[in-house]
Amino acid sequence: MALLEIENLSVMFGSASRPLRALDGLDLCMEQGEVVGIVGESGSGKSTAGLALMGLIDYPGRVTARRMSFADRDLLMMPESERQTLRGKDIAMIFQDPLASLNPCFSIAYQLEETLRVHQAGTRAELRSQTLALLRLVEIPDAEQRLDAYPHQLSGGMCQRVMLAMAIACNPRLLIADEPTTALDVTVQAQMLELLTGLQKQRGMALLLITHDLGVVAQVAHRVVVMYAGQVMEQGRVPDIFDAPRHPYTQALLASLPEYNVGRKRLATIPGNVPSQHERPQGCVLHPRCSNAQEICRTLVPDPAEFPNALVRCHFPLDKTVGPCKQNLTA
Amino acid sequence: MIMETNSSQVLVEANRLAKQYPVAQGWFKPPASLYAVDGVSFRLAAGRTLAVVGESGCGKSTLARLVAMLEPPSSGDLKIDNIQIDQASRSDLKRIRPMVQMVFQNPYASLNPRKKVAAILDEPLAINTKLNKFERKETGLAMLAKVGLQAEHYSRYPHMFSGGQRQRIAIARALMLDPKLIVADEAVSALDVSIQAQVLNLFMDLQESNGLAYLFISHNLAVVEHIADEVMVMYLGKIVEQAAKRHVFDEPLHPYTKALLASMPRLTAKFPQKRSMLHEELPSPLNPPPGCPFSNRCPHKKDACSAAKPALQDFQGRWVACSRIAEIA
Repeated sequence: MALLEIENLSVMFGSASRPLRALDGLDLCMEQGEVVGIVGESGSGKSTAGLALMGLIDYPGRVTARRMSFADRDLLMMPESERQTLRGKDIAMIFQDPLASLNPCFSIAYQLEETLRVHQAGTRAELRSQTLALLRLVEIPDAEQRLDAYPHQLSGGMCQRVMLAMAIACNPRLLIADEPTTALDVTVQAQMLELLTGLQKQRGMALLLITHDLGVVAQVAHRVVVMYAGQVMEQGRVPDIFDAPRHPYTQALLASLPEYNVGRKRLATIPGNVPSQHERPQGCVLHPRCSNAQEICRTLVPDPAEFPNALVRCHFPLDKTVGPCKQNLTA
Repeated sequence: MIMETNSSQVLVEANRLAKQYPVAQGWFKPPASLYAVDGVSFRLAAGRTLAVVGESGCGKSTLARLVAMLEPPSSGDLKIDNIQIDQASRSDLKRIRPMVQMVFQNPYASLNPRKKVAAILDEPLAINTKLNKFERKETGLAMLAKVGLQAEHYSRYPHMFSGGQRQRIAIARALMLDPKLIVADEAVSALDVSIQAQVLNLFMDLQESNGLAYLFISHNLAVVEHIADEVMVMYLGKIVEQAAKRHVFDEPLHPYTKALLASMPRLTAKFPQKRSMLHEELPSPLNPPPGCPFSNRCPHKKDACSAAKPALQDFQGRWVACSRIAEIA
């Protein structure tokens, strides 16, 4: 039995007559202890997916799904009070900007204890010693002194560690990390990723890593979901997708990275821009920017097609033998 | 001091450039001084790209502002086109300022939302040249075409463009006065991967067609590896290593450069690889460790490292600031 099963999850904003689909038909299945990365450019709906899983989409946003279950409990039919007990306990989330997500008016000890107070009982002394243990777990130096510090007294990397401590306080089974290292420097990012993967292994958590950085996903995740304009373009195992992408978008995205263009003066590019929510094209959302687009792509939205270990939403999936370097995209 | 570039084509020459800011410590304490840039020297020739890399707070943006003459250095001197900036006459400055233009990180913030593209591109020409209205419009339209935008974009407002297009407008604005040096301060950091590739290509095309030199500031090492000729690694306001790009990326010498490269997420290697990880964070620039600024994070630290600041020295034809470089290389 999978830990998380999602079928056809959609999030819509805007009026009923002219809905804006921020997320359009996400299928995702996660096992206990699995690391899944969601990558995509801005506006691809990756953060919306994380928020929908947490149940943080408010009116006027509308969340619909054919099925959305966590540990065999239906998240959609669940009353809000029950959802509230899940949130922060079994499903936890960390956000991109640690300084914006911590409350500047309270000490970090208070904010960490709050999570524990809500989800479990305990005396003040017990809570404080648990908080201290958590800070040590996320490798904050001089944890005793940092307990009563305020967020502005800590660096960005330290604040992100506090966020992580808060998220794992109640031993969640699923941790959603939305761009956890984007605001950090590379050296601190490497520390943070090592800590995150270490804790994930040690506790057997499932980790849903949302990021725009393909390098981070390649290093940390087992499986990857590539999103574009609210839709999943491709999902599959990390080595397969990075070695031999089947979707033209994944291939073009990889081909536009400087890492795949070593020694070449010009980078391969994807022509055009990511369409905004108001101007999603008919048919396949990628077709105006895709070099392989045919007549059918302009009219018909492709359904995700199953491959061994992969799901690809394209009328003309690429041959497995075509690597990202031997691509034929228009420059 | 660096590299044997022919002095006739040297465009920028910085010699022991430093910028110090006073930082208030409270009502009754005297302000502390923060060295954002400390003793930075380099030469940049026309048509070349010098990349500056380092973590946030290492002084790379301050260096950009010094070179763009937005701020005067506290000490040291800066020569642009063989003219010493702090002693230059008004007429010399008037000639030199258009030669150096800047492109900023966030194209959503660097374009005035109340001005049309027309006004944005027109302003530098109206102030600095004697062209009439029609000639200015013609130049502006030609520039739009050059950066890959259409003529119809000329009368639009910045909010009507996407991030990549806005960055093109910012680049077009920088190019209006036919500069020789573009200071690009994290110019592609805010862009999506596919758009970043387009803008990087534009930068490289313009370098070829206009013979531009770039001072390219970035924290993204993959981008730097692609675009730079020479790389300068900064740490707490100082240069720790400076060399040709191939040297820095293939065989880094300074322990900080090594750590920086090892921290870079790679697409090929699986994560918990053997890496020289740094365990601490960047110390406060107000209170740097004694001696070598990197000593508190360095895996090769010896007591001698805290005694004296290592000078930037020539080691195997490259410039490295590490007192133990001969032992650890």
